[in-house]
Formats: sequence, structure tokens, C-alpha cells
Amino acid sequence: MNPTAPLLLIVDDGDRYVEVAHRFLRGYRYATRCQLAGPCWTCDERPGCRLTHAHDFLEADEALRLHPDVDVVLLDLAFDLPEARLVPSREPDLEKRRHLQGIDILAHLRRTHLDLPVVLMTSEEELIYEEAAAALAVDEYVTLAAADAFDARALGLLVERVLARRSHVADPGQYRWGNCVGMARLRRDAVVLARTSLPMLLVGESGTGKSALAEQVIHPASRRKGIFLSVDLAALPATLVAAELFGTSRGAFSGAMDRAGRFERAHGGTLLLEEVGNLPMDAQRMLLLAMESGRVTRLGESTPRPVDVRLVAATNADLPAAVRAGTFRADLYARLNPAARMLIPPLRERTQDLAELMSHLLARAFSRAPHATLLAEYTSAAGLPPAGGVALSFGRAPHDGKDVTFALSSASWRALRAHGWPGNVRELDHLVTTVAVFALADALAAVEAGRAAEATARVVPVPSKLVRDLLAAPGAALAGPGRVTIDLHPAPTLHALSRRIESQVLRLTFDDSGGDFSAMAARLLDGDAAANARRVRLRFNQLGMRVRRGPGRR
Amino acid sequence: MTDGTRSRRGDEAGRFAALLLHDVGKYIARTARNVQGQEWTPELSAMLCRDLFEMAGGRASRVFEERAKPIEMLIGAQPDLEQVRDLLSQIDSLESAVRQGEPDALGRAGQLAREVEAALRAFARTLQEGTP
Repeated sequence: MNPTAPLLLIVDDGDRYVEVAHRFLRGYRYATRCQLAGPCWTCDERPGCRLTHAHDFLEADEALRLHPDVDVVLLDLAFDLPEARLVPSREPDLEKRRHLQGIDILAHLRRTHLDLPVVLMTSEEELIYEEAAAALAVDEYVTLAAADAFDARALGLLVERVLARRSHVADPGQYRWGNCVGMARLRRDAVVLARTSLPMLLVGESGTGKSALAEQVIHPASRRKGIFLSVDLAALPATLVAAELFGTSRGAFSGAMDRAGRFERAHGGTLLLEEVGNLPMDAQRMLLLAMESGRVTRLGESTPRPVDVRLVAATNADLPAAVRAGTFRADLYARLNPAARMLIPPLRERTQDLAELMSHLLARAFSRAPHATLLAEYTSAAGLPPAGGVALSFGRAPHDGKDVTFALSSASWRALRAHGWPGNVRELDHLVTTVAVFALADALAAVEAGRAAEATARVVPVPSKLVRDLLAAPGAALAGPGRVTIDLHPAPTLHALSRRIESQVLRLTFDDSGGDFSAMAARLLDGDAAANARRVRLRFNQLGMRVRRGPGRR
Repeated sequence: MTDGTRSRRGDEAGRFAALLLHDVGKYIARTARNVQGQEWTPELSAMLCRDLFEMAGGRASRVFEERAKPIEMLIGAQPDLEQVRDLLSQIDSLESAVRQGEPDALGRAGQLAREVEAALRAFARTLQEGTP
């Protein structure tokens, strides 16, 4: 048996499907409920064995716990079982429940396995209840076996098609969903709506990941060939919004050039309008026209140009309140499809996802320069083989392995869980990266000073005080996109004041970007990236600021 | 009979036809579909016997009669069901030879089982598209 062969789980109240599969589809592995190795068809215990597959939803849960890597589920439709073994339901008609038990099991599986491919072993002719067809219509990961249910060769081809399609489906791997109910609903809605031509409205507090959702999930899931483009309407002066979105023609106003707007540049792709609640009234009218007609007119021109754009709008504002206050057009709000708006829960409502998110953000931060370089420098100085990656441990001894593990104390972990996270995932991202960089810098200093033992170098302790200080500090970590919080005190001259403010902005963005001058320049300046990075580094030095190596040198 | 009543009965019959397809049509050809042109080993013969004569609820012909009865009560006798009845009768007549593993009987029974499935699938589709 090929250990890498796809793993199938059969869910059927009888043994007809499993017999056919074990007899005619031996190129696959099967998720059983027993611990014995080897395929069932070579097993001495096979006659009369009931562990070959799942007979109801509880056994399906059991099999999936034993085999979390199941590739495809083959699920029967009708289950002739006692009521106690059916998925709990308010449907009073027991026969109907039995006939549609496969649909109920599918819904049950979706609570924990949102994108697990399921082949429903039935055909349209057997789906006699409308609600069954409706439930299946919105599930993109389910396939009807139709007449192939008992045709092993056809079923095998169907499974291969399902597996191939899965590899082409938008990979939401970069986006961390976690396990809370709100995020599960969001994931399902986002992928389904992305396939339609309907506008999408993302609503959530600053830092919850609206932009990442649009770029990493919605755009790939829409399968559009064009690019993903976003524009932060809060960061644009009101006078420039229309020109930026719809483009300009030479002479439209003083200094105007022939230039395509974001709509035209996103043609065939996805355009994210961040902070759509900040759109000036004039631009709201133009956006409404563009959405209704599928055309945009550059400023200074009279001929509209057709555009095909999947529009995603995001906001942390209360748009219905803005409509009531007369600052946001009611017709535009209606056009943004508010009935299907997607609510992204704040981090404080999904603290069960904290550990997963932290591990993901840490791994991402150390997968690229400059942090990857710092990690390599540390492992080299400590005499360790190159690290496989980085990991986090929370209040207990870390596992042995190739990773460099950042060890958080129980007190730090409690403090992180109790924190309100006003800056949401962005705040968490900054905090995790800052904590890890400072801890690693300290560890590197200790190694270089000969104060660290090689045997323990794989584990980098994170001081509780550092976590506590960062959680308590107002600053860049708590600020939203494009915003920093600075301490403002009177200065003797305006020049001294602006220098003080500039120093704080540079220090905050320096910390925020982990000391990467290119990243700082990208946030602060328009134009040539390399030249800007040099300018920022020069200014940093001119202001008498120095690169800190760790919390001990702050 | 009013159009409304006729329509309701048609819907009901469609539901029963779907059950008939699920309970008989799908299972009866389970093994037969997969051994076309191959040798009938004892293991495969035993599987075929289960499909034809040991369904949940009894032999296929008996399960068929139970599921077909409400359809015929709702919309009268149906030529398609008569055809299936005849096919199942032929299968029953082969039982002894099939159980003894006679290759010709196994091949013929398998062929008849596939015809039953195709007929029931077509019947269910016809009823769902409109009362015949």
C-alpha cells in the first residue's frame, strides 16, 4: 500500500460501499476506526469487522479524530438507523431525517471541516427534497457521485477529479481562520460570495484582517485573471480620491496627466476599497455610477470606459449610521450588498485562536529578511545546525526538534489572553515579532558573550517583563494602519517640536518594521524604494538615533 | 381529478420513485457494474448474491414490490415498472444457478441487474420531470 495514496473515509450505515471500495479501489488508503496497520482486505479480523468505516456521524467524528488527514469523504445519503444515532434535528418527520441523513452529516462535518471534499453517493434523482438540493448548492466542496456511486472505475476517476480540483481551489493557507464560529461562517460566506459577481462588504475593526481576507482568500477564490489592487481611502486626501479611483486626462486640472485610475488598473481582477466610509460625496456618486454601469469616466473626459472589476469594500465605520447622518449615500450603501456583509470578529472575541495565530505570525516573520538573517546569525553563533523554523511554547517545556523555540512563561500567556487587543491581529503581529526579535537579540548577545550553553540554545526564553511592557505600552503596536501614537510635549521652537515628532515617528516605524529600513521607507515615502531606504537610514542617523539590539540596551 | 390533485400525486409518486431507485436500483447492480467481462470469483459471486437476493428487506424483487406499490396506487400501472418486474422475475429464476456459481447464470444475472438499474433511474427521472 502506497503510504502517500489519498486517504478515503466511507460513511455509510451498511457495508455495501466499503465492500466495493475494498474490492475494486485498492489504490487508496481507507480511514478506519481501528489501530491495526495494513489494508482491511489483508486483515485476519476483516470478516464481521465493524471498524472498517463510519456508520453514523459519531463514528465519522471518531474516524476523523484518528485520521485528521482524510482527503475525501464518501458519504451515503440515506441511513436506516435508530433515531438516537441520527444527527440531532428539529425535523419531526423521522423517515425524512433518515432519507436525508447524509445531508445532516455533511452539515455536521462542516462545523469542523469546512473544506474537506465530500462525495455524496447519490444522484439528483434521489434528492427528492428541495432543502437537500439547496444545502448542497452552497457547498463548493461537495460532489454528487450520481450514477458513478457503485461504478468503481468511474468513482475512482471522480475522486481523482475532486482531488485535482482541490489543488486548484484558492489556497487560503496564508490566512489563519482559527476555530471560532464567527470565522467558520466568514470563511464559508467569503468563498461562496467570491464566486459571484456581487459586491462584497467586509466589516470589522481596524487590524482584524479585512485586507488580508480580500487579497488572500476572496481574490484567489474568485478565479479572476487580473490583479488584486487595494486603495486605502482614509489615506488619500479627499481632493485626490476621484482622480485616484477613476483616473485623469491631460488638462483635467492643473498638472493633470493621462493616467488610469485604480478601477481601470484592476480590470479583470479585484479592487479593494479600504475604509469606504471615508469616501467623499462626489466620489460616492461616481462610484455608484461605476457599479451600476460597469464603466468609469476619467476626470476631464466624457467617454466612459468599460471595466470588469470584482469590487470589495471594507470599513470599520458604522455605515448605516453614516447613511442616517447623511454622510454616506443610501443608494450606494444598498449597492454594496449589505445584506451579505461579512463581519470579521475582533481578536478579543476569538482568544481561542491566539496560540495558532501567534505561531503563524512568528513563523511568517522569521521566514524572510531581516529576521531570518538574525535567526541564522543566532544559530551560527550558538553552534546549532540551521534551524528548521521557529516555534512558540506556552508555559511548558518545548518539544525537541529542529526549530528554535521561543518559550513564553505561563504568566505571559495569561497576560496575552487577558489583553483586550484593540489593534486586533495587526497588534498581535507587531507584538509577537517585537518580542521574538528582542528575545533573540538578547540570546545572541548572551551567546556571543559566552554566557549561554549550547545544549539549551535551541530554546530562547521570552522575559515576562518584556511581554508585560509591550502590552502596556501605547505606541505603534496599538495604532491602526497609517497611524502612529506619539507623545506630544511643548518644545521651545517649532523646529524642535517637528524634530521631536519626526524622531518618534521614525522610532515607531523602525520598531514596527523590525528595523528594516526598506520597509520603513515604503511606509513613509513615495518613489524610488532603494533611494528612499537610504534617505530614511541617513535621517535616522542625523537625528542621533541608533539601532537597538535588544531590550537590555533600550 | 383536478389538475392540483394530479400534480400532488405526481410529486408524491416522484418521491416514491426516488426511494425505489435508491433502495433497489442503486444496490442491485453494485457488483454487476464492476465485473463486466471479468471472471466471477467466489467472492464476487457472493457479493452478487447479496445484491440480488439478500438486500436489506429481502430479495430485490420483494423490496421492489414494496416500493413500487404506492407509486402504482397513486398514478396507476406503469409500463416501466412492469418491465422491471419482468427483469426481476428472470433474476429470481436464475437464483439456484447463481448461488452454485455457474458462470453463464452469473453473467446473465449481472446483465439483468444492470438493466434494472438503468430502467429505474430513467423512471425516476421521468417522474421528476412530469407525471407520465
